[in-house]
Amino acid sequence: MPVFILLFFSLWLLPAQADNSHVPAVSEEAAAQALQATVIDPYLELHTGPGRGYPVIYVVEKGATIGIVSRRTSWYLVVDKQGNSGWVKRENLARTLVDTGVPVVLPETRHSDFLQHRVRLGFTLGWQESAEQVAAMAGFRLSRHIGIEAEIGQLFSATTNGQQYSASLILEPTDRWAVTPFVSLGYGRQELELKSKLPGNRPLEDNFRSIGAGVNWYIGFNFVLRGEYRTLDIFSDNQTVSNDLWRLGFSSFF
Amino acid sequence: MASWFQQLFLILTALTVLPVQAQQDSSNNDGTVVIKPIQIIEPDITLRKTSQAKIDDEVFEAGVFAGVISIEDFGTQPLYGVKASFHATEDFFLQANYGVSKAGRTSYETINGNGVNILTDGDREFRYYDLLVGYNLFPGEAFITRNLTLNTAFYLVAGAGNTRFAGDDHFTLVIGSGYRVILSDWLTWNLDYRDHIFKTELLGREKNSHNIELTTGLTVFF
Repeated sequence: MPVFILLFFSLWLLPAQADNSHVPAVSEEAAAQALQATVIDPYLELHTGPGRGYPVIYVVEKGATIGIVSRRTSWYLVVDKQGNSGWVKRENLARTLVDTGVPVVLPETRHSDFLQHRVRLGFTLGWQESAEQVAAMAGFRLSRHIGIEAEIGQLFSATTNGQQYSASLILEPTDRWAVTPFVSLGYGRQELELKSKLPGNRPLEDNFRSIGAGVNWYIGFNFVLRGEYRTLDIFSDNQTVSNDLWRLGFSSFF
Repeated sequence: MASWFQQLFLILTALTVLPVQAQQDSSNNDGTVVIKPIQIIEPDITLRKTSQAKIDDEVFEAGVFAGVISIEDFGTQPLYGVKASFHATEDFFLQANYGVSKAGRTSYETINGNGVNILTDGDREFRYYDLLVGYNLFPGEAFITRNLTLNTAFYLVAGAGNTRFAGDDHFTLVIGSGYRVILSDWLTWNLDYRDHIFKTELLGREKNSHNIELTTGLTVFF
């Protein structure tokens, strides 16, 4: 508790910026090292923040040189020759030239250009029969249409708790649309522990095979919403049990 | 590569220059524009690739938080934790949280004196992790003083995770909201409200327990 109070009050001791500009001040050193580009539109607008609605604070004219310092989502912090800094939206910054006379190279707005050899991180939430499932997922795209994903998750039911580990192959036939279907093939292992601590209750450790299908919805240029169904064939001691898994996923790639 | 290129260059130069030369000879008298030979420049692919690489990405945010959590039936207790966010777009972000607290005593235990304990000391440990999606609902600016303005955002979060409490794992739904104040280009201050909802049978009947968390913390962008 004292830590909490200390933390709260320490906020008021933070050094306040001297001027009324709350755009990050760019040091001369950083400005010198930044990627230089020339404005080719009649003017380039610099906003006070990296998001919708932030007001324009400076305007850089055509032909002037700017330094591109950093990126935050789809906004770029730039600094002009006078040391004025502000945020520029990606679409506008694409209308500038680097010193070789070619446009600045920025990630394309089409997600298919962004998918090549990209790492994906995210998580999924859903139901396996009557048990709730939550999993963290890491994926890697091998080619335009094939990806591999590894996941580690937890299962929660009325009588058992458990862990799941699995790896899947994801086949996405097209990457041209914002909403794309995919199929998945996977193999994994689940370890279930009975909640009642009666003697003789051993954890159940079974391997499973999965096949499934779903839809990826690409929002923005690197945020993915996923809806998915999988059928799991679980190989227990003397029989194969089939489970339905329905789930929702959120992931992003970079 | 080079010899092939040289050949191509020579052929192309010959094809372009010779007709122009011929044209010049024949048409310089009547004032036509002189066309210069076409220059062929080998495209430099590697240079195009470096543009993006030179720009520093700042889309990760990580930090610590501290506050209080009201554990249903077990009182309000201090809570500490760590969080990490990934800002996917200017609107959406993904966030992972890990928090630790320790439950107090229920009123039932207190009334019945020290001898009655529903939980052992170790089972009072309250630990959770959750994975959330966030949406920046109201980005904006806060005018702190006449000369100091800070960028802010009011955001909503929702997701799920696991709560380890009373010696058991519970699937937990999490909803909440928060307020982020960007203090400098690398430091942010957060104020968060969360409700952790999970089913419990600890006190007889099964019910959904709501565990309200109020925390504040600092995170850094990198």
